[in-house]
Amino acid sequence: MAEKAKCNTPPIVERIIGVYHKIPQEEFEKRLPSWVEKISRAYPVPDHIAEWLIDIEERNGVPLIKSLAPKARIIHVFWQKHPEHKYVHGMRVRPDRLVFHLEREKDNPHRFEELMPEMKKWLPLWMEHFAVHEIDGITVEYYNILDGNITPQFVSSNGALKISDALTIFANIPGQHKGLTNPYDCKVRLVIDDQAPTFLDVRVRGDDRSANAVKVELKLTTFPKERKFNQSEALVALRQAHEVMLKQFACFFTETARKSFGLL
Amino acid sequence: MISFAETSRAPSFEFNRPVPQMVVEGEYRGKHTPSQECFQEFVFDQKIIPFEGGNRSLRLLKQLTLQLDPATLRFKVKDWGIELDCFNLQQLPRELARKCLFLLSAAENERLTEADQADLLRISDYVDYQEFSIDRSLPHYAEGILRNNATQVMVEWANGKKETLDWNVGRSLTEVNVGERFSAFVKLGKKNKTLLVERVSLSQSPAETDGWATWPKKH
Repeated sequence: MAEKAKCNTPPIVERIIGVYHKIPQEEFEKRLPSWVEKISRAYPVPDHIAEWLIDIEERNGVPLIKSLAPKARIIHVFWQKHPEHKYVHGMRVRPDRLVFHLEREKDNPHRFEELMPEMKKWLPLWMEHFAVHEIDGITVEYYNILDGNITPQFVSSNGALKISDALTIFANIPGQHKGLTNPYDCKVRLVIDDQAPTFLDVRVRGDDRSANAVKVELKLTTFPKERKFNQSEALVALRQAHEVMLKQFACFFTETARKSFGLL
Repeated sequence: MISFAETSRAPSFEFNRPVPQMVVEGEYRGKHTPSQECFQEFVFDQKIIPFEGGNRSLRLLKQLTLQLDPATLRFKVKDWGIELDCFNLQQLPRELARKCLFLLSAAENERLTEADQADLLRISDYVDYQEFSIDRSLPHYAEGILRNNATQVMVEWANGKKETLDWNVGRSLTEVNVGERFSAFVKLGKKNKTLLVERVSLSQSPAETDGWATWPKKH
C-alpha cells in the first residue's frame, strides 16, 4: 500500500464529514429539542442559518420554477465553545443528515483526525435518538482557498493568482495565451467506483472573500453497494473516503503546490 | 473565516443527474418574464414549533406562508401579524410560540381586543388549539385499581371507567400489584385518554366485595 499522503500546510479552509438518512420531517422536528438538550454540553453555541430555496429546473434549455412552492427553512447549527469565540468545530443536523464541520483558524487548517472522533461519538447517539437504523450514504468534503492570505506563494507581485502553478487542471490549458484570470468556474464529477457508487465532485470557482481568490471544492460521496450501511460500516466508509480524498487531493495540485504544502 | 460550505441537498447516486447549484448570478431567457410574485411567497418548512425550551410543542395544521418584501428584505407571516428580517428566520419559531401564548393567555383572562380576536380567528386555522391546551394543562389527581399488567396495562378508575393504557404510560404503574389501589396525578388528552401517569402512591388493596365507597376520604 502506498504511503499515506500527509499534508502539513494545505489550503483547506473547511473539512466536512456527514452521514445521510431521511428522517420523516415530523419525527425530526419532534425529537430535535431533546437532541439539542443532549448535545448542549459539547455543542453549546447555536448559530442557525436561514435557507431560502427556489426550485428551478431546466427543460429543453428553459429554466422553469417547479410547481412546489419556494421553501424557507432553518438549518440547525451548533458549535463547540472556543476560547476566542470562534466557530471551529460545528455540528449541523437536518432531517436527512448529520454533519460535522471543522473550520480553519488562521494558519491552522486542523486535521481530519479531529473530526472522526466526533462522528464516532455522536453517530450512535443520533441513530438512537432519531430512530435511524441504516445509513444511506456518507460524504467527505474538503474546501480549499487559493489567495494571497492562504497561499501567497501563488500570488504574483501584481496580485494575480498563478493558478496554473497550483492546480494541475489549469496547468495545460490549450491555445496560445499569456495567462489565466477570473472568472474561474469549472466543475466535473469523477466516477471513482461505479459498483459501490463513489463520486468525487470537483469544482473550481472564484471566491469573493478576497481579491483573486479561488475556491477548490472536493466532495467525495459513497453509497452502499447492496444493502445500506450500518453504524460501523458507515464509519469505515468515511475513513476509506478520506483515503481516496487524500489521493485525489494530491492529483489536483501540482508538484510545486504539493511541495509548498509539505506533501512531498 | 467561515465558508459554511456543504451541499444543501442529500446527494443521489444516479449518474449524470443534474446537481442543484447555488445561484450566484441569474439570468432568465424565455418568452415570458416570470412574475415577481413567484419569488415572493415562501412556505415555511416546519410544522412543529417547540416552546418552553422544547418541553412543549405547537403543531401547525397547515404550513405557514412567508410573504417577502424584496425592497426591505423583510417577510410577513400570512395571517399571523408577525414581521421579521429575512436574516432572522431562525427567530420565527419563537415569535410563533409567543403569539400563541399571548393570545391564549388573553383569551383565558378575557382580555382579547378586537384585533386580537381577529388574529385568534385567523390563527385558529393553523393551530390545533385543543392539543395545545391539553399539552399545557396540569395533571389532575386520580384514583384507580390496577386490573391487569400482563399483556396490557388495564386500569379501573374511581368513576368506574376501565381503560387500557399505552405501554409507555402504563409503565409508571410498575410498582403497583394487580388488584391494588393507587392514586396518581394523571394528564388526559383528547377523548379523555390518559397521556401521563406520575407521582403514583400505593393504597390498601380492596377486598373482592369492596367498592369505591370504602375508599379513604380525600382531605
